[in-house]
Amino acid sequence: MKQSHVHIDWAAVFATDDPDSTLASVRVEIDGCPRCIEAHAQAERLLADLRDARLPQPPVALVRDVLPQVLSLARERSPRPAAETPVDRADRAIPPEGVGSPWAARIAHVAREIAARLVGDSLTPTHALRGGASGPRVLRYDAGAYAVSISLVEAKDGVNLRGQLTPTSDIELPETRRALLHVSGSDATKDLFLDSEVTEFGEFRFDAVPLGADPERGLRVSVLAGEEIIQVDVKE
Amino acid sequence: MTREELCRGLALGDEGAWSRFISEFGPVIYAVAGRFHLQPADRDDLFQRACLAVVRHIDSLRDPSRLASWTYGIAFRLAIDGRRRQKPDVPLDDADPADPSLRMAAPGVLNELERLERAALLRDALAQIGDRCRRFLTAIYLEEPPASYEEICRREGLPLGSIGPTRGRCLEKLRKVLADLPEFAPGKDLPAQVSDPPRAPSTKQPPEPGGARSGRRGRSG
Repeated sequence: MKQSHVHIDWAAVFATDDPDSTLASVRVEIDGCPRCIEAHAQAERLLADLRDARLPQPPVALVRDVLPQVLSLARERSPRPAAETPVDRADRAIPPEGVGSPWAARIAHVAREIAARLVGDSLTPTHALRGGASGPRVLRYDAGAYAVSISLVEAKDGVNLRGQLTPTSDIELPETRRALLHVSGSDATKDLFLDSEVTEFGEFRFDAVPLGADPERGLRVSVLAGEEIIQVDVKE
Repeated sequence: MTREELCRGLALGDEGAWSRFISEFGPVIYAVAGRFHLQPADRDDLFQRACLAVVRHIDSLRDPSRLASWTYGIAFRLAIDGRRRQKPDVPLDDADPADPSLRMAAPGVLNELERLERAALLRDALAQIGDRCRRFLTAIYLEEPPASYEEICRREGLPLGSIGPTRGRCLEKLRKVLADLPEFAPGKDLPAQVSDPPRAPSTKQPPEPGGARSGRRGRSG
């Protein structure tokens, strides 16, 4: 029997509306090619494995019970965080001109600092912050027990930043809430710090944030939530 | 966040790392407990013990790219313990996943466990196809409840019409990674569904908590 290799564009097969059916139709085209049949079987198995791999999440209440124990054990065992006291962290988070401000008073009891992780961006990463997009750019961050979403809208004198802090599970927002925006300086400009309330719905806002002509100026939003400070680096 | 960063975060007690771990691998742990038909309280206990074991042993994981299958191995062993405590009169050999007592306890459990191990391996493979493809395929295939295409596009900043081509590219990347894994090699049959009769005892072992590969060959990057 003649055996000839058939090139299969797998990416194109997987891109169709129904990859399973497409795979089935491809199968009849490759009878004379054992290598292709092998690859075809692997592709079928891949789709089957993906279907099998969807598993339910553990109950939220269980996670809520276990997570603090796990974090506590890990921090006990880890030499790094023990060296840094809550006071150190609070000091680091307070801008020099912010000492004595309402912000500083609120973060005096900060227990830990969490670096938020970007998990969603409404624009592709290639879009510049002020690059002519038609809608507001919305960034979503994961910070463990909380999520932070931030939208940026061009304004006459800079950028209007709107944010919202939301719990990721069925918990209330803490009583102590505050947001601080740090616009990093450049050769020509100083660092800038702006302070905002966080409403009972977790909303905060900074209007007309001056970014000037330097698109590289970084934005960091520090959100105080109870005993935690969530650090959100807005600039990618 | 790379697997190395994730493992470092787990060891340091970083909340973001642990949230991600529980979101990605918690389902594997919890499903192992379910496949062993543990009582709900024992299932919760297994989940807790497995997470704590991850903290205690994460430093010994030599290959962070195996985090999911390593975690599966931990859950598997703890589940054996759990079964023993539920039925202390049934002798179970920790090192033998094909122990007949397991089949007596739950017909088809071995096949289900093998499918779970493949689910863990798949999660490991997803970590090797780039963060964007990992997020994308996770959202399409693994999230529970499943996210809508609209939601996925919104998160990733993609136009709705690009779902197919993006899925195609990402699945092709994943297919190439899996092609290098012996567990996914041609000729390796898919484990049967749970309703099928139990298969002959397998000699395959789950991965060691220390990161040993149990005779598996390495994979290319």
